[in-house]
Amino acid sequence: MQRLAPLLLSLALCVGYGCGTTKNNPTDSPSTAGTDSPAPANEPAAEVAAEDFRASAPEPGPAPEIRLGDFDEFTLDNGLTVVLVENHKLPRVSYQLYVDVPPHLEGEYAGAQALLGDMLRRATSTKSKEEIDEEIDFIGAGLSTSGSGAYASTISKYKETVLDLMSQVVLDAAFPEGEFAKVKDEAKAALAQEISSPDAIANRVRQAITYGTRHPYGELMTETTLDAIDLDVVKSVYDTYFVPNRSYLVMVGDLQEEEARSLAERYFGDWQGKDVAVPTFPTPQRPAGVTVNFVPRPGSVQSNVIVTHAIDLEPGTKESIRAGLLDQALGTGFNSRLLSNLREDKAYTYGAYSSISPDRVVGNFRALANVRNEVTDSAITEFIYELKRLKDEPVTEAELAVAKARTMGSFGRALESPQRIASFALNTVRYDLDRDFYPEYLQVVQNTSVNDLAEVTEDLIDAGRTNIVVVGDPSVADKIARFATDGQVRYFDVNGQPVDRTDSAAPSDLDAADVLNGYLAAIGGKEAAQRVENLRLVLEGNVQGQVISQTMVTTNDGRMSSQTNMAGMTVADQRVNNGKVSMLQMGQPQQVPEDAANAMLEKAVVFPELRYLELADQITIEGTETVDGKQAVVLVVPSAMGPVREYYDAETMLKLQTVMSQGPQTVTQRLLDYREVDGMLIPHTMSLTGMLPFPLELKATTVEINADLEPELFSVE
Amino acid sequence: MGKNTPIMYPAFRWRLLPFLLLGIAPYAFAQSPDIEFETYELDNGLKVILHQDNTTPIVAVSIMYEVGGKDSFKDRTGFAHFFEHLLFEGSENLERGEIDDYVEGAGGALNASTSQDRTYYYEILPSNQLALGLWIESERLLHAKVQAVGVETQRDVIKEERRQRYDNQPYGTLQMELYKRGFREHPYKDPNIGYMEDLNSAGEEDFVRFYETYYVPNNAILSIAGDIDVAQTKSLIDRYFSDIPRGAEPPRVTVVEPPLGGEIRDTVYDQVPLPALVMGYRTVARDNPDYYAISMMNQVLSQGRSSRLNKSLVDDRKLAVQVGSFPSPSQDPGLGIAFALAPPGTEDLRPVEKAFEAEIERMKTELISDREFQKLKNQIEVSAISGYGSVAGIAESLANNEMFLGDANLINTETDRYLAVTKEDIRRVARQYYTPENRVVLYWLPQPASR
Repeated sequence: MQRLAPLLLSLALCVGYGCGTTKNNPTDSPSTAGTDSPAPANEPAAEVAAEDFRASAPEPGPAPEIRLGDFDEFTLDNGLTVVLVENHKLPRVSYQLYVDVPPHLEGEYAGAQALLGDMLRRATSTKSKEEIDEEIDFIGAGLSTSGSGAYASTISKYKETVLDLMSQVVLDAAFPEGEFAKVKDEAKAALAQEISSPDAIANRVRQAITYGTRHPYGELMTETTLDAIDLDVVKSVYDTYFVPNRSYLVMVGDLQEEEARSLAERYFGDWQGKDVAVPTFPTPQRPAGVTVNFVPRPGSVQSNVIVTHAIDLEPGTKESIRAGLLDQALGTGFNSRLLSNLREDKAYTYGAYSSISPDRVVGNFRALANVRNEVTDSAITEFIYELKRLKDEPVTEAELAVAKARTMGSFGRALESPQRIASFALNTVRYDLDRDFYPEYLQVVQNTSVNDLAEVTEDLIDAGRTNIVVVGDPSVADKIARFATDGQVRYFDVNGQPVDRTDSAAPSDLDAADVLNGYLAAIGGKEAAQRVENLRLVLEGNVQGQVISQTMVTTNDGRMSSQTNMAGMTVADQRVNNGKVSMLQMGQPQQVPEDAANAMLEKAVVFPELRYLELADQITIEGTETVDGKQAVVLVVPSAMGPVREYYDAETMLKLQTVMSQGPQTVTQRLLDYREVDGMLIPHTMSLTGMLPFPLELKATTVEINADLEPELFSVE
Repeated sequence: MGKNTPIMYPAFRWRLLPFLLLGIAPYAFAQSPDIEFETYELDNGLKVILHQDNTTPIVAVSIMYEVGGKDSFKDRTGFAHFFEHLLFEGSENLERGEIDDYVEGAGGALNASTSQDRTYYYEILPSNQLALGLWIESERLLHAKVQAVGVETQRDVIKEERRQRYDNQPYGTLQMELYKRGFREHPYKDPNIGYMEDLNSAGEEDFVRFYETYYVPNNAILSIAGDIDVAQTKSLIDRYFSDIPRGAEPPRVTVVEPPLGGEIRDTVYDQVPLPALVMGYRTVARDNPDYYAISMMNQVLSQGRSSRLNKSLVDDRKLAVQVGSFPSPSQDPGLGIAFALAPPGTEDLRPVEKAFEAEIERMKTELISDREFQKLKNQIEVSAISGYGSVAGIAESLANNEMFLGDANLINTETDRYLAVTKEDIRRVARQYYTPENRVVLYWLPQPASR
């Protein structure tokens, strides 16, 4: 549903306000559309001497008349509603097929409708995807599909070709398995992208919290639901919901009515209608108090804050028009309350906005900003303050005048775009509005009083009953608990699922020594580990097609020797013996900086964990994290090169990975494939990321314990 | 400025993946055969362009200054953009915040943007408010007023802008990382939005100097499009602008970046889910005749789902989920950018790079097919017809063409330049510019899940 919901919302938004306004009825007052300047305070007197004409704003000329272009509407026998907006200024046309799929639960297949959208262009009974792509690109046209229809645009000379193609991809869709595999892979990639973007995460979790994940507007596509969707599921969405009797074909541009009728009939007349069940759902309610909902995104340099709740606001009503004006005053204009406060006064953010979206099922209120980490709680304080202030200091006459001017101006500008006029037309038809809804919109805007706004504020906004959603670095979470009525931060993952944070807090019943002892026991016992005198590893990997191998020996008496070979040459040789270090590169001795020397000395042990045990009081448990689906306890171990994070499997206690930062680089070493060698478990695969421009995987070809070693191996110059 | 200032080139969001596509020239390929306009110059050097279109009762009033990120002085990167924010603060006759009040109170919209090459301010107003737009722009040019409170506020706002648009965005620093490596001497090496420390240290004397140097009528183009009466508009322009004194000729960046002199490869770690191959090829300035062939070569590579990179890397070999390649529309030679986003779980980008390289190689060895060539021409024809949907877009294109190509009328004639490009030209520019020693290659990798 996630691709559908925003579409519904944005359509609804147009009915409510913003894009919807004016068009003066020509018989009405020639209108003051966009003329009432709010007269900023201290404006110089109007008597303007010739030389200081610059001192004050010029008087506007007579207001131009704003005409809303008309549209035609007709219905085919199969129930398809066609809307035509003629515009012959440029030789081009566009077509939108909007299939009004009713909000419905997708459950374990959340995302199926979106996948259907991606499948539609992938083949017809006579054309492959490649052929469709080529046909469209060759004539420089555009054709896209979605879970609720299709959109196409072209120049006039191809108007029939393109409508024909659009009809084919929708009505004659073939659903080849091969393409479905690709569509799924691409959807996975898109989802991975989405859940890495803080804005997208905030929006997902907002939906889940506002509507609940058991509501069509609140359920989210996840990796799990994506995996579950098969081609039959997608086809059944198509078979169930793609019907002409719930669809609208909006034709815009260089077309005459006669021609539009015959084109629509020719290419969509054979589409068979059938009934579609429209499910209903309990209406999501506002929370009883204030909830604080947090999605951890470690490393975020800003917090994405959304204050939001469900509202009951029908599109196409007077109240929705007034809500639009309220939204302008609160957080849409440059000098709206939120922007003036959070940006121009406090400089917490690049932008702070509000939105009030009417919707036939359930609407929503939002106030949002991205703010730097340190001011997350201060910003929330200001949001709450502004929401309360709407009641304590209601929108003033002056603010209302600006809101009206903005609304009317925005309408005037929208009329430049035939697409916007088409969206007004579609709303009129879809929501069954009075044909004069848009023409009379301006009147409602004009006649709205500050009392009307106070009423709508009372209905829609209550700072004591809302949800605060924050995506940000975990360090900011504790500071925002105080905004919650119950004093608690509720944690969520990127899929809007509650996360039990007792899991990821530092385990209280463990200390660093317990973890290290647990690890040593898991690999064969602490005493057995102490008895190992030396360990010899030969590792092999592949770098740019070349085999790289490293032989590394460490001992329990502080010696180490490591040789790295590539293409028959020893590219690096590192040794530690008796407190001294040496390093050769390509046979040349290297000066070893002190911290690097110390780091090498630290490495000259068989099991560093034995040494860690001795400094257990300097090691902290940072918390738990998931590594490869496994819960891992994270230790922070001091080292010569700075702190190293070590991740131990909470269940098996085996070490899963180490992470350390070297300057701007973060090097992660994964330890995999533990196998027993002389009673000790030793990882046989190591994967390194962050060191080279590509991951390097090293596999052990030899692992020897207590080998006979030549003393020369450790000789240090 | 304002609330949503695009920096650098306009960024579009892909339908499927939220990956920023960079470097699309707003005016490339977009000519309409009959956009009529008039252009003239005031005595003080201010260039004026007027386009009348009375279809909708709105007017776009815009002014473009030839100053951008690259004109920032030493240790003051990002200064042009910072300054753009400050020029919304007020003037001798406009108190702080009043610019917004007036324009929005008149039912207008306003904003501004700064690229490496120019700064652009505009208002879109109901047409009876034309004079208001002219008054505000004349105030901004004649005697803007910058107060300490505004400086401090905007400094923090811009730092948030930087975080929001770049630092906290997956792949948000892509362009910065490429240019940082692709240039050593030319100021394109520095981010347009500036380094944090430079934003911190900009002071009042910098602002005064910057304003006096670049905000002079002989460094600006006033471009107006929409529902106007030409004679009346001219007389209003005369009233508000003619007595603004001419300034000294502003200094220009004359640094000529030496050749890259060998491939630069590096790795960038970022909070991203998908590894990406990112490349920047040193190409030509926007006014170089080769720009057209380079642009068309990139179109063959990545415009539309049937384009070569889409077909080969995405559809056939599944090495990428998204690809893109763009020419650089900058005033001085910049980087043609190409990228490929690899599917989840990709561990090794080398096969992606090889496949990309193979497509470049094909460009160099074979001429594009007759069908591809015809497709290019068809696409150019379509862009010429449908590129200009708004008066605001027309005002900006006219100013761009005048400022960077020296001829506003290219809005009507530039199509011919694209259509004059031959298959051989396309092959030649591939050979000349898209070479390994002329490029920066970045492996853009997911940050290991540490912290």
